[in-house]
Amino acid sequence: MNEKISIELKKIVLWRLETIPPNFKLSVGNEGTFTKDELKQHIEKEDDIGVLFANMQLNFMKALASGEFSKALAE
Amino acid sequence: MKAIITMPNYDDATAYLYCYAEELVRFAEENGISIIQLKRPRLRRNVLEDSITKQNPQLLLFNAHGDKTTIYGDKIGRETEYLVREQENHQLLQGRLTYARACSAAASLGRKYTQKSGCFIGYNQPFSFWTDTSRTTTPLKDKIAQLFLEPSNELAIGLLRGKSARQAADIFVNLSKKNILHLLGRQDEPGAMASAMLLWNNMMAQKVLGNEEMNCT
Repeated sequence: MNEKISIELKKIVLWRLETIPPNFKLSVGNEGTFTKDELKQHIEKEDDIGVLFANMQLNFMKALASGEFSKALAE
Repeated sequence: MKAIITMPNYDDATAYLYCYAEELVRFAEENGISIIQLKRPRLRRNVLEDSITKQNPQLLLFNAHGDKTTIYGDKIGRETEYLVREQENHQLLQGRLTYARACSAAASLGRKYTQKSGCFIGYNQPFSFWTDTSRTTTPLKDKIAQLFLEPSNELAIGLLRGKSARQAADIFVNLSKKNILHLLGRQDEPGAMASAMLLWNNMMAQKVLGNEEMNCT
């Protein structure tokens, strides 16, 4: 993955991470498991894990904004 | 019905998958389904290949790490051995119903082998889940991880019950939706929306490739 995280998206993702309890740990297949603080570091560094997590958040926000999320839940 | 299940257990993620896979084995045994468990030290590519060739199972349940072209098995020394890899031995899957609870294998490997026959249920992005750090030694008591792993277990149970690939995949989607709705009702609770976000990504990443009507009897 060569893409980077836009400044705006990075701010949003870091803000969202603040709302996650400290006992949460993310398991991402081959990549490993990551605490909230480790995820913050990956996002700041814009490495593969950071980009992956930011894109997950972006996909979710797009689905919320487009109505795809509500539509899927209603089906 | 004959099935094979792979059960690696060498890091946090596979430890969780292992415990959930044990639930599938229990279900199969209680229901008289012949299920071959591949776990250390038998979780090796040559054992899988032999088992498929000799036992001819209809259903393959992979609990594993994966990537676009590969489903992995156990960690041998510092290396994780591949079990199935595109262009190497992907023909093993042909004509069978496969569920890969593994990252990204639906992106290419699944497409490759279902071009001829069979069905592959998998994910074209990383299959991700939150865990509760206070529960890592007792994965089945981890209520956070349960939100993600129970829908995928119910999918596998659907296949063991003889449901079609599409019907079983729909179980995963419907249970994930149910969990999202549950979380939306508690959206002020810390972590609820982060869990909803991951459930959504897993739901969107799930793909059923090949013959969706295929089932095992």
